[in-house]
Amino acid sequence: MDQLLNRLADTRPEWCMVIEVKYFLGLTDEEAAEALGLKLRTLQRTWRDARQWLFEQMEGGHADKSPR
Amino acid sequence: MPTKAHDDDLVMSLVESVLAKSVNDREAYLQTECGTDSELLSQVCTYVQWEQRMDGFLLEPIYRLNECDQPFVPADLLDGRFRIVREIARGGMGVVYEGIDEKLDRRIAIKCARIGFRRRLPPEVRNATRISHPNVCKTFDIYTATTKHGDIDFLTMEFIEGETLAERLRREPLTSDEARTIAQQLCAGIAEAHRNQVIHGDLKTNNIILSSDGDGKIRVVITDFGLASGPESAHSAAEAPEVGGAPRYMAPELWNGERPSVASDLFALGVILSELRQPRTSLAQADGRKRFWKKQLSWKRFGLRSKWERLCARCIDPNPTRRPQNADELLQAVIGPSLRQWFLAATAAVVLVAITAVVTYERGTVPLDSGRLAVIPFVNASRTPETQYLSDGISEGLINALVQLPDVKVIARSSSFKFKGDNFDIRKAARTLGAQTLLMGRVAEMNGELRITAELVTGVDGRQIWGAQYNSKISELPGVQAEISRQIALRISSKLTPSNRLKLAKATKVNPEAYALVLRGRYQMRLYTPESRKKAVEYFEQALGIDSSYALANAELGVAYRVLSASGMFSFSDAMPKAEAAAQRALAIDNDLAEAHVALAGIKKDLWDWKAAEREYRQALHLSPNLAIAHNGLAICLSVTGQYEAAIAETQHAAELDPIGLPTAIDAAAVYYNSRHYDRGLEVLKRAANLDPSAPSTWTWMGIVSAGSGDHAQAVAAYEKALSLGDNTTATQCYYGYALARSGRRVEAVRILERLKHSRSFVPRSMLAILYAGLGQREQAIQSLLSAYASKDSLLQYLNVESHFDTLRSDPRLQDLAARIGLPPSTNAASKEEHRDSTKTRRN
Repeated sequence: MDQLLNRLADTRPEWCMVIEVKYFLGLTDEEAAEALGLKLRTLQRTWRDARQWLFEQMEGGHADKSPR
Repeated sequence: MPTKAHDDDLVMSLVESVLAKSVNDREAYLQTECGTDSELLSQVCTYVQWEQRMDGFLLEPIYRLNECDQPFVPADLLDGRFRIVREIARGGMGVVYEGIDEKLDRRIAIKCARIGFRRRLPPEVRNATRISHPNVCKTFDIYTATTKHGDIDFLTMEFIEGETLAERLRREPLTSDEARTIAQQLCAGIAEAHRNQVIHGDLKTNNIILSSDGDGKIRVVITDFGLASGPESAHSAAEAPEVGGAPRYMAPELWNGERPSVASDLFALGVILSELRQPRTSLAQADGRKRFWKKQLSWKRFGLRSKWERLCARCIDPNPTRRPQNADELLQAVIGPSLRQWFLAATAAVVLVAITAVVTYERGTVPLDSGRLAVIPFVNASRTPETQYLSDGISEGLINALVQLPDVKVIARSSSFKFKGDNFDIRKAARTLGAQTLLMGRVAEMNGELRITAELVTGVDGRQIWGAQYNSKISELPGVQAEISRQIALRISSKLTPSNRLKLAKATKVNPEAYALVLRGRYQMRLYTPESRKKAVEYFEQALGIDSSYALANAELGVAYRVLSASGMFSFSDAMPKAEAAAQRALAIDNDLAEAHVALAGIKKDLWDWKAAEREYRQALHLSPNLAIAHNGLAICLSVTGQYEAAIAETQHAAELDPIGLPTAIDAAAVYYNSRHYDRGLEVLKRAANLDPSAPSTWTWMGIVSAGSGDHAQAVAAYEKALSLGDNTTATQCYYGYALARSGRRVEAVRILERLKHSRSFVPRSMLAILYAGLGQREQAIQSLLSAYASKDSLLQYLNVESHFDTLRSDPRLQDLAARIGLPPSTNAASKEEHRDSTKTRRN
C-alpha cells in the first residue's frame, strides 16, 4: 500500500491526499473537505475515485497499470 | 460543455440516495432521476456498483480522532426532534438509548450502531415498520443524524419498560404457566412478523423484553430488528445483513454464510422455547451430552416421546427444510395441552445445541480469495508464564489444522511467531509475512476457565472479517480450537470438502487432559534447552499414560527422543529405537497424521534409510501440502542423496511458507551448501542475520558455507561470533578448528582437538573427522569416519555432500563407506575439484 500511495502521490496527488486525511487521519467528509479546501461533494467524489483505484490495484495486483 | 455527469453535487447526492435504497428499488429510482441523461446514469451506476464491490474498503480509518464509541450523549438533539435521555443498553454492535420525541412528546427508544460498526442501517430495516402487533416492539422510522463522527443512522422505536428474557431466566426458573404464556406470545409475534415478510434474523433471549400489560399480565415484546431483513429481497455482498448475535441461536446454515430465513428464525425460536424451562447456566456442563443421552433413554423407556418432543426436535433440525413451515404451526402446538411432555422435550433440545461460544461478530461473510494466512501467536492475557503454553499451543494447533487445507498457504510457526504480544503493526506484519489475512487472539485463564477471543483481519488495513469469543473449560479446548479452525476455513478456503472438514474436526476427538499435556510438552520443546526437552519427554509420556492411543502424543514423543539423541543428551542406541517405536505407534493409530509422518521421516533419515525418509516426507506433504517443516526435511533428504534441483525446489517452497523463520533459513543454507551453491547459501544467511543477529546457528552456518567456498578467514570470524553467542557444541568447535587450521592458525586448532579428545561430553566421530581433515591428518580422519559408522553416527548422512571431506574423497574406504550407508556414488567430486581449482586461481 505504501508503494501504491507513493506512486499515487506523483500521478494524482489530490487522491493521495484524500486517502491520507480520510483513512490515516480519520477525518469526516466535512472535516476533510475543509482541510483540503474542496467542496464537500467534490471531496466525496475524489474519495470514491481514490478508493476505487487503490482497491483495484490491491485486489487485482495490476501494479503496472497507471492511475486513470 | 460539461454535462450533468460532471456535476459533483448532483452525482454524489444521487449515489448517496441510491445506496440508501433497497436493491429492488434502485433501478426505478435511477431511471426517474436521470431521465435520458445516459452519461449521468452510467456514472451513478458505476459508483454504486463500485461501492458494493468494495464492501466498505478503507471506510474505517486506521486512526480516529477523538476515538469513542458513544455515538450520542445525553441531551443531544438528533435531527432537530429526538432528545437523548440516557443509554439503556449496549450490545456487540449497537447502542440503545432512552429518548424523547419532542415533536410528538412521547418516550421512545433510539437504537444505532456503535462507532466502528456500520453507520448505515440496511434499508430493509424499514420493513420492520410494517409490523404492528402487541408482541413486536413497534419500530417507527429510520433517521440520520449528522455528528462529528459522520452521518449515523438511527431507529426510533416504542419504549418498553421491563427486563430481558435473558435476565429473567438468570434470576430464577419460570413456572410452567409463565413459560407457557411466554412461549405463546413469542410464537405469535414471530408469526406476525413472518406474515409481513419480515425475518428477525437475530432472535435471542437478550432481545426479548418481558413487560406487563395494563392488567399486570406478562407482555412479551420482541425487539431489535436491527439485523432483520425482508425474505425476498436480493442482497449483494455489500449490504448483506451482518450475521451476529449469540451462536447458540444461530441455525447451522447461518454459520455457512447463508442469509437468515423463516427457517433460521424458527431454529432460534426452538432454542429459546427450550431455554424457558432449562436456564442457561446448566448448559455449559462438559458432560451435557452424556446426560442428554441418559435422559433420552429414560424417556423412551417411559414412552414419553410425544408430539411435542418431535416438534421441538424439528425446530432445531440442522436441515432447514425439515423444520416447521411457519411459526403458526409452532403456536398451535404451544397452545396444546401436553405441556409437561413439551418441557421434557425442551430440556433435550437445549443440550443438543449447547455451543461454547458466547459472542460472534462478523463484518462480511463472503469467503476471501484463497491466499496466505498468518496465525499470529495468541496473546497470553493472564500474563502468568504458567499459561503461556496454552496461548502458544492454541496458535500452533490452529496452524497445524489449517495447513491441511490445500488452497491456503498458512505461514509457518517459525515466521508468524516472530510477532508476539499486543503491540505490533498489523500491516507491517502482513507485509513482512506476505499474508493477506491474519488470525489473532487472546487467551485468558482463571481457575480452569478459559476465555478465548479470536479475530480474522485483513492484512492490508486490519479490517475485521470475523471475530468470536469463546468461554470454555480447559477440557473443552480441543473443541474450541476445532471450531475456530472451521470458522477460519469457511472464510478463506474455497475447498472445504467433506474430507477436509473431517480433518479439521479430528482435533475434537482427543482426551482434553492428554491434549493439555501435549501442549505443555510442545512448549518445553520450543525452549530449546536440554533440560526443557527432557521435561517435554515427561509430559508426552504422561499424556500417553492417560491415553496410550493418542497419535499426536506418540508423534511428539518420537520427535523429542530423536532430538535428544542428536544433541547427545540420550545415547543414540537407546533413544532411536524408542523414537522410531513412538512414531510407528502414532502412524498405526492415525495414518493420516502429517506430524507423525514427519517424525518418522526424520528418524529414518538419521537411520540412513533415505528411501523411507523421502516416502514419509512426501506422505506428510500429501496430507498437509503447506507444512513447511516437511518441505524442509524433504529438501535436506533430497540434497544429501544428490538430487539437488529437486531439493532446491523444496527449499523454495518452504521459504514461501516460512519467509522469516530461522529453521527454514538454516535448512535452505544447508541445502545450498550441500549442492555447492555457496553464494546463494550466504545470501540466505545474511538475510537471516539481518532479521535476527543474535541467533548463533546463523553464524555457525555462515562459517560452514564460507569454509565451503574456501574463505576460511571469513569462516573463522563467523564461528567466533557463533561461539560468543553461546553455540559451543562440539560440532561447532570441530568446524571452527577446521577453519583455524586451514587459515594458518594450526596451533589453536590442535588445542581444540586435544580438548575434544579428552572431553567427557559426547563428540560425534564424524565431526572429529572434520577437524582431522582440517589438520591434514587424513588417516585419523578416515578412522574417525569408520568409527562414526560403527556408532551409527547420524551425521554421516552428510558424507557425500560435506565439502570438508573433499580432501579425503579419493580414499576408496570413503567411497565404500558411502555405499554401505546407502548413499549413491558421489556426484559432487568433480565439481568439488573444479571448485577448488577456481578458488586457487582466484587466490593466485
